[in-house]
This record gives sequence, structure tokens and C-alpha cells, in this order.
Amino acid sequence: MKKSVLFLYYFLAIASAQATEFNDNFPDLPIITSASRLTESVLTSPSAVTVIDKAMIEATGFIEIADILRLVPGFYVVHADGQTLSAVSHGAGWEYSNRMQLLIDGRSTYLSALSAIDWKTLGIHIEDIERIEVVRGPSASAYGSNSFAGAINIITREIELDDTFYAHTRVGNNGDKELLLRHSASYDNSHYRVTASRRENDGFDDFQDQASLNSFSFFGLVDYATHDSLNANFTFTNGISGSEPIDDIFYDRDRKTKTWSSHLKWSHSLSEKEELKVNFYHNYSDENDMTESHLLSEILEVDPAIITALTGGPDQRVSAGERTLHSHRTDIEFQYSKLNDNGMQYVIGAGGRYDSLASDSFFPQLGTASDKSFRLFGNLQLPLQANLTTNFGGLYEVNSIDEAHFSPRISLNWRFSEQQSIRSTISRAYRIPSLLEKNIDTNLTLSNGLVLDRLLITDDSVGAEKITSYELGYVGQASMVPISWEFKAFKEQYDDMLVFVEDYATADLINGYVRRLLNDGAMKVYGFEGEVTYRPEQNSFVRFHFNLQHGSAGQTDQIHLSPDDAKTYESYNDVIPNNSYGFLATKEFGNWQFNVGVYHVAAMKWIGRGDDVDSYTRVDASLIKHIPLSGNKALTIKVGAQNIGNSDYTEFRDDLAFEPRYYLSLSFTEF
Amino acid sequence: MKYWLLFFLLASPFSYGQSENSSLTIHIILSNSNTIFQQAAASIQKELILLGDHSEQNIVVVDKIANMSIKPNDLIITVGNEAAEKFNALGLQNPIIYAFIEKSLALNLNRSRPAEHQWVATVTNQPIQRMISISEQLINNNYKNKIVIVLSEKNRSTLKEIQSLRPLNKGVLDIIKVPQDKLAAKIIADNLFNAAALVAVHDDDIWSSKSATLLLHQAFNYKVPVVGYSKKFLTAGALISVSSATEAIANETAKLIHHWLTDGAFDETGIVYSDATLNINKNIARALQLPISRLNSLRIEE
Repeated sequence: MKKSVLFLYYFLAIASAQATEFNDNFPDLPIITSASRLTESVLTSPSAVTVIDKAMIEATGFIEIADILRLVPGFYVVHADGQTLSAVSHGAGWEYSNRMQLLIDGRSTYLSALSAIDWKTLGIHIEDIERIEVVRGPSASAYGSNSFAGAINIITREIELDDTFYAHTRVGNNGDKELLLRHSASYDNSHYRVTASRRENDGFDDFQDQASLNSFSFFGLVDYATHDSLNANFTFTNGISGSEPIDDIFYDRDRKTKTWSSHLKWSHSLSEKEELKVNFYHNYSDENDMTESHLLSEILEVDPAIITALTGGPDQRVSAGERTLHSHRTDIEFQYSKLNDNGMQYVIGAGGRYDSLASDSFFPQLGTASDKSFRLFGNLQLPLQANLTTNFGGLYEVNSIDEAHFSPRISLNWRFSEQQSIRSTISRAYRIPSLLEKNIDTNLTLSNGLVLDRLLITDDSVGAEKITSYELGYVGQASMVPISWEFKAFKEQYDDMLVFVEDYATADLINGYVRRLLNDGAMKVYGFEGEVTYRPEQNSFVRFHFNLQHGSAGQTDQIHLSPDDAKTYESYNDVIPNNSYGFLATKEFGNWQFNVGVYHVAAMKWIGRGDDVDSYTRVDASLIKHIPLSGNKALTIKVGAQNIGNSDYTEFRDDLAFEPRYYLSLSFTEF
Repeated sequence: MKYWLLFFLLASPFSYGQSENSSLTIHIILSNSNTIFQQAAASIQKELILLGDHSEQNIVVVDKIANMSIKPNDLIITVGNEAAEKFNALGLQNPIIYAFIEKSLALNLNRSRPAEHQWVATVTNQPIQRMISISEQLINNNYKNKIVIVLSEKNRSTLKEIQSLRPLNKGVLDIIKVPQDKLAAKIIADNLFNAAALVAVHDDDIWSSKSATLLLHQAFNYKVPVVGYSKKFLTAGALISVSSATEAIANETAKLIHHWLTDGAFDETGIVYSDATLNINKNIARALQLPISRLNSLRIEE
């Protein structure tokens, strides 16, 4: 009996050791805010971040995903042609934006083949997007390789919260047509979304850039255990588009495109403070725009016998293309993140990547080029005092193209009031040359092997580009009115930029020089930019963003000039526009919504096929009417107008005027 | 360990099998032999000892009550929902304390019983008023002043309770009634914009696992703090839990037993709430940009 009494007090002691909670039937809930997601507080963020949500996207009236970046301070978006869109931060842009990372739900879409983002074949639709987070500045430690001048993180709508059925159609001028069908469903802990769409447009007037694209995507999610989830995504796009003739010799050029991606993402919450993630994806791209010229005798207007005499071969047609390639990218990444009770949080990880590229247009002699790269990364957020937080992160990358590089970032955030903080950040990042940049060797070759025209060649010394960035940021929101703001003063120094230089030491029958890729460009930009938003309601707000900057840029222009190997250097300060701003306002009245956007960019020079374009101010507007139907159904009618009343506006090339565009769309939704 | 604990409880000097000889027998009926119920019973016993009461209790799992001899005046204490439901099904009219029970179940069980039946329930719930009181203190500016509560359309009793609460000192209450065929998280987005807090109240259709997951997800997307009624909400991503600790419910239960033993009647009837325990998820606070010092100063105001 005495023993029983001792047991009694022993168990009572256990029962009273800590305040426990009685939960006889309340189930465990899955952890929603995993450690890696908790880094979202803008007051302690190490970089300037612009967040664009679904309501903002709808208010813009944009129909292209790239255009959304017009809302980002210091970003410039162009339609280089009807099918090629490009976005660049702070300047020095061309038709292929190659200094930015673009992630869709954690999958990099940066094409190893083009060193760029192909905005037309992302595999998702603008209406699939829940929000876009744009990190303005180097962020390789957080977003991986190629997050050089910035990182764009697209988060698609959560499948479980998506509409059951969605049908959308749009018609507009310039031959713009679109049909999209989407279906989402859930079965127990499994959810999926299937989207199929077809798009057509005529591109710019009097320009060979019409296109039709079909796409299909499947997004699946299985919450197979309380603390585990598995995402499986697949996207497919194919189509054909017209392409501009090359040098007025290669006509009738079409580009056939086929891309697909598969993406697996496993998340496991070890606890509410620890998470493990494995991310695996494969991207494939197959493009073909090879075409043939007229017969050489016809081009040169000579007798075929003369061609034979000059070349040693028969009169013939020559093949050329600018986007003929097969590329694969396979990537796997492991990530562990943890939060501590004192506010310290960190993420560490490792990844490996395999890229391969074969191209008849870029380097026909080489066959398939490939690269294996490995990376280690980490980020630490450490509260130093109650109002002082430091972030330190880095990415160490080893690859077969260039030497190993370490891209670090350090910041200090001082939260001087409950809703305001000041941030100072120093970061450096490297952009490893892509397979294309490392191997490009483009020429026109006759059937007997005679090289008629050497066009582009990579120098053996080609290595990584480097950016060093300093910024001072101020983030806050008012407590009395729904106003939030974000400003930053910045200085960015780009070194070893990859540029094409005219090399007169390499023999070429036609031009006397070859364009050689070298790390011989540099750019320095100082500026001040930011955004202010007044948002009393989700669908009623006014937003203003701006950028004021000044800088210098230049590159070696010519090398190996006779007689003494002289070289010339040319300044291109005008690749940096001095200012830009944007204004977006929307107001909801019952089932009506009115939207107006104004976008201004100062005069600037675009590289590549671009020109010196004048400053422009573009006005967009749209009107949306929501019509509730019976049950869980609704109809949405949208009338949109882009660049209202301004037929002279060019943004990339002088000969491609972006004429006013109008569209009408109809969407049926079953919730 | 649970078997040891059960063994101990059944063999302890406060349990006995010859209750038919006693005029004031106390039966503690557990929903099952799980540790959680054993600990609840042990806590009641501990609180009784602290009250100076060394009465004897007969502790049994509800599935064994067929073997028990229960006299009309014996005091019954059921522990947990299942014990309450199964004992109630016997139709006995003993004075009863429904301990560790959900409020809605306690009210349902006694709806058909005669008015003279002595019953009292020490519920696992906390009054909604307390949760709203905490949420009110999260309002610190002019425009984020909305406190959102999501209810299933059929949950009229909770709606009635909310509507009977005192007016808010500041802010507005936004009650969203969710039709049966709709998922709450799908229709709540506009309401969460610029909301000061989302208050989770007992509603199985809304805060069941799947729906709760999505609601918490949406709340985090809109940076809205969630005030939950169970500590389990904290691990799932809520900012604050306003809940009832086992010890607090046991304390209320023990006080009722003690009074019954002293006066032969309960000093309270109906629903009895225990003191609230407030817990804060500091990591969520940081993510939502809420100063922890301010959260530590939150107090429940009745």
C-alpha cells in the first residue's frame, strides 16, 4: 500500500510537471508556415523585394507575364518582336535578358541554351499566378545561380484553392486570340490542376513574327502525411512562329518550338521549426528555325560558274538559323531550414545540375556541349539585438565552364519603429557563362567545308561576369492609413561583362572581322528607386513606383586592329535610362472594376537588335465586370486597352511601333 | 507508461471496489484508458488533495460501467466526450459533472434531460469573448481593424453566442457564414485583406484538418494572425492560442466535487469555463512583423 502511495505522488508529479493541454479529439494540423517560408518579413529582408499579387496583375490588364515586371522599380520590359520578350534591371539590356533568374514554384526556367528566359514558353498562364516576388539585386545565395541582377519568383495559385472549372477566351486586334480551359479537383489528400491553352497573334505590323502556341500543364499535390507534401508538375508547350529574315538573305524563316518541363518537390516538416526540401526538375527545349538562302548566284547576281570558280564547289543554297537547338537541364537540390526560438533562422543546402546543348545554328561542328555543376549554399538571419538583425548568405559554385566562385551577401536591418526599418546590404554575385556563351562558333559554311562568313566565336578566356552591389533601403508602412513604401539607394558595379567585340585578327571572307565574345564590358549605376502603395481594399488601390539613376557603361569595341594590335573602347552610357516610373490605380464598385496604368521610361539604347529608342509614356486601361450566375458560377467580362492613342511608341526597335492594342475577354468560373 | 498509470489509478488508495457500502460514492468515468484521460483523472485527484479533500473515488473506463453498481445519489464525473455520451445513454439521473467535454456536446446531452437534473460541465472550450478580447488588442491602427470569424452556416449556436457578446472596444467583427458545400478558405480571401486577426472558434466543419490547413495557409498569405483555441494551432502556424490547460479544468472540476461533498449540491450549474492559458508562437510573430514585447503584454479581459 505504501508503494502505491509513492506511485500516486510520482504520477501526480508527472501530471503537474508542466501545464498540459487536454485534446482528446482535436487532430494534429499540418505545419503551414514552414521555416523556409518565414523569411518573408520585409522588415528583416536582406534585399529590396517587390511583391505583385493576383489583384495587381488583374488590374494591369497585361496579357503577357513579362509585362508584369513593368511594375517593378528599375525594371524595363520590351517586346523585342512579337514573340520575344525581355526584361532587364537598370539597363544594358538586349532581346535576351540573361542576368536574371526566373523561378516558377522553385523551378528555374533560365535556358542554358539561350542564356536567357523565354517568356513565351514558361508553360504557365498569367492567370495561374498567385503572386510574383521580385528580388531587386544580387541574390544568388537565396535563389541560386543566375540570380545575378535580380531574381523573379513566380508562385502559382494553390491547387486546393483554385476554381473547379475555368474557361477563358480573348480576342483582340493584331490577330490576338486565346482559348484556355482549366480544371482543378481534390480527392482526399490529392489535388490536381490541368490547364490547356492555345494562343495566336500576328505580332507587329509588317513584320514576320506571327505565332501560334499550344500549351498544357499538370500541377499535382499530395499531402500524404501530416507533415509531408509532394508536388509533381509537368508543362508542355509547342508551336510555330515567324522569324525575321537574317540579313535579308534567309527568308521564310519559321521557328518551331517544343518545350517541356517536369518538376518534383518534396517537403517534409521535421517540426514546426525545421523543414527538409528536395527539389528536382528537368527542362527540355527543342527549337528549329533553320532555313536556306536563295542560290548564291542569285544573291550575288552572277553566273553559277563564277560561284564554282570562287568557292571550288557548286552553286548552292546556304543554311542558317538563330535558334536551332536541343537543350536539357536536370537539377536536384536538397535544402534544410531551421528556426530558433531566439529568432535566428538559417537555411543550408546543396545541389547539382547537368546541362547539355546541341545546336546546328550556334556551334554545328561541336555536336553536344555539356556542363556539370555543383553548389553549396546557406543563409543565416541572426537577431543581434531586439531591433537589429543581420543576414549573411553565400553560394559556392563549382562547374566545368569556369573556375569556382563564391557569391556572398551580407545585410544589416535596423527596425527603428514597429513598422519601419532601414537596411544596408553589400553583395557580390557571379554569372557563369552558359553553354552557348562558352561554345558559340557560328558561321556560314558551304557544302565543301569552305567557311563563307565567320559570324560569332567565343574566346577561350571567357569567364564569369561579376556584380558588386551596395544598397541602403528604407521599408515601412503607416499605422493610421493603409500606405506602405519601399525605397532604396543603390550602387551597382558590373565587371567582366560578356560582350561581342569585332576581332580583326580572325580571317573572314565577307566582313574582315569576326564578332568575338569576351569579358570586356563594364557598367556602373547609381540610383534611387522605390514604390508607394495606398491600398484600403484588396481591389481598390493606387500604386506608384519610380527609378532615378545615373551611370556609365562601356566595352571594348574592336581588337587586333592593324598595324599594332590596337583596340578601341566605346562608351554606351545611354544603355542606362535616367528615369522611369509607373502608376497603377484600380477601383472596385460592386461588380465593376476600373483600372488605369501609366508607364514611363526615359530614352535608352538597347543592345543586340535594339536601337536608341526615345522616351515613352504608355497608358493602359481596362474595365472588368463580374456577373454572378446561379450556384457557384460566375462570368467575367474584361475590356482592355494597351498604349491608348499612341501609335508612335517604340520600346526596342525603331521599326517596330507598338500600336494601340485592344482586347475583349470572357471568363467563366465555377468555384 | 499508460498501463502503469491505469494500474496505479485503479489500485490507488483512493479507489475501491466496495462503493456499494458508501453513501457518497464518487465515480470517475474515463472515455478510455489513454494516458490523456488518466492524466486528467490524476489531475482532478491532485486538485482535490490540494483542497484538503481525501475522499475516495471509483475510477473506471466507460466500457466497464456495466459491471458497476451506481446508486441514485452517487456523483458521476465523466472525463472526455465519449464517457459523457456513453454514460448519458444509460439514462441515469445521478448528479453529474461532465469534465473535459466540449461545450456543444454538453449542451446537447442535457437538452432532453429533466430540468431538476443536477449537472455541470467543465468544458475544454474557452469563451469566445476571451479570444475576441485578445484579438482586439492586436488592432493597433485605423485600417487593420477587422476581426474575422468563420462559421459554418449551420452553426447557429455559436453565431448566437457571438451576437450576444458585448460590442467591441475597437475594430469591427466580420462574421463569415460558409455554406455547407463551400470550402471556407476559398471564400475568405477578400475578408482577410487588411484584417487584424482571424479567430478560430469551435466548428468542426471549418476547423477540421483539411479546411483548417487551407484557412491557416490563406491567413499566412494575407499576413493575418490566427488566434486559435488549441495549442495545436501554434505548431500549425497560428500566432496565439487561448486554451484550457488540463490542470485548470481539473481545478474547476475538483472545486465542484469538493462543494458537492460539502453541501450535497453544486455551487454552479451549466457550463463552467476554466482559466485561460495564453501561448504565443514567437516565430510567427517575427514573420508577421509583430513585436514580441507587445504580444507578451496581451491580457484576457472578460
